[in-house]
Amino acid sequence: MNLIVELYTKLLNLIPLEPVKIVTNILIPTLAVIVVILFNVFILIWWERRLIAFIQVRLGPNRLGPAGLIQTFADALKVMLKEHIIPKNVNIILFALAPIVMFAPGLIVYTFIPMGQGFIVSDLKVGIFIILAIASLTTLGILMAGWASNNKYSLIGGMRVVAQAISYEIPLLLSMVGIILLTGSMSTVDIVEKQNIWNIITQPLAFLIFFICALAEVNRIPFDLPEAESELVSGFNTEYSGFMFASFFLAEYVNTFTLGALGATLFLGGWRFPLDFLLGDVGIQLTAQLGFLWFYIKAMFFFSMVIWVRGTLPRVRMDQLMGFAWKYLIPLVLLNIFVTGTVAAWFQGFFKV
Amino acid sequence: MATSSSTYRYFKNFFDGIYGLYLGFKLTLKYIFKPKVTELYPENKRVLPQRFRGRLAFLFSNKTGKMLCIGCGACSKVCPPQTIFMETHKEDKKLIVDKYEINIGECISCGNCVEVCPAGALEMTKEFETASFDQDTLFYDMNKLRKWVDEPNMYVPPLPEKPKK
Repeated sequence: MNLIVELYTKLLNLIPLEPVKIVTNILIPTLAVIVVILFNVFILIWWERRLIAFIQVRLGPNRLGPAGLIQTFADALKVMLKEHIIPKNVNIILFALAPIVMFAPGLIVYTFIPMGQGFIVSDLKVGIFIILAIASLTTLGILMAGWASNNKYSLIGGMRVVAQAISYEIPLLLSMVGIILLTGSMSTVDIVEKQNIWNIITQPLAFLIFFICALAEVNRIPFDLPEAESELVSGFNTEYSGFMFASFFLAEYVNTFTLGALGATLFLGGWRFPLDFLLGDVGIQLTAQLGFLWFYIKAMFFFSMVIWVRGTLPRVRMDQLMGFAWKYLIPLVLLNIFVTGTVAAWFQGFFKV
Repeated sequence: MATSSSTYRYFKNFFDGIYGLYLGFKLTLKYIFKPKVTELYPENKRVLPQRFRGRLAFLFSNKTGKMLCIGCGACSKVCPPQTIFMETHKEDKKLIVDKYEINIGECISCGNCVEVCPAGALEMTKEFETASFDQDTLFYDMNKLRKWVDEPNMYVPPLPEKPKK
């Protein structure tokens, strides 16, 4: 009897005495981030359709709501009302799990991205590292979808994703090493706070490589081989319909914006107003009060560049894709690390004997 | 020879590729700010060309207050989809038209009927929004086709105009 009481009190001690604190400190920020991110996807889709139309000298969706903003909601509603078709002979568990596996990492990543001064759910010392570790899980989701669909084209799409993701993750990670060398920290908050001059100016080559690899990571044109419509009938999501397809679509945009947010944090100064350290008190106030706005504008700039690339370039071949990563990007990124490292060491007095 | 070595080709490919990218991106950036070609149809309608052939009109004279049609039936004979239906009876050696009906859904807007009409009693209007949710409303009788004019439409095709930009 005594033992049970003892265990019970121990258990009680384990539970924090202020459950309100859990709600206010963890639950509400997390929910807010998720809602903002999901709502943002609608704006992203609208913006992509508008901008790609502008490039093609069209107008794009402009009927429903102001400048067609509500069009995406209407499309989402239509997709949700559609029938779920689960084909015969699919691996149902993997088939149903794949959209979730693809969707969840995109949301989790935002826990570690600062969206404003102090507007971060969890600031880790290995921030960038864990972001990429989680973001690369989406590859698994696509492979699961391709495998479970019991469809040749889907499987080819899934296998292409794996080959592509493995090749491009290396330069993606290595392009950040230069920044880590300059900053001396892997925490996203530290990186933003030390960026008085944007990293895009000190590390232009790294930014370029990061951008290219980001495109490949999220399977955007010109690296959209896994879902190549003309070759693979839309690849891994051929067999999906209704809301499952919608979640794939959603995940794609969430992941694209994630890399935009990451690019903004690493290279464009995150939540900080440009050159705020020169403006004195005004600059500090601008950064502190409107941090999210600057962050959002920078991430949207990154996303707009992705659309611009989509409107310009055709799809590459599979062998070109692989050759580009291994023959050009990795040597370049190693050169970048070498130069950055040398300069950083020189500034720290390494060569002064 | 240095120009054929693989190192040379590697770097040439690289810089050629960058130059190609630069050209492509410059072009698409220019196109973003170009005026768009899309026409917002229901609000901004195009100016129709002078010889535009829309829905058929059955002409009535303002002077006499009667129809110009003499009931010869040439239009219904020449009509390629045979959609003009006509009923006449004789009165004082003249044909009086009782019924004149066409199906707008079948009409191909060829304009043969206007061209062939000896009395100039038909005309192609510029009206083209005749779509409807109900097939029965596509049958146009004499009253629906009526148009009051001063002069019979003796088909003289106007000279073609250059389309305005």
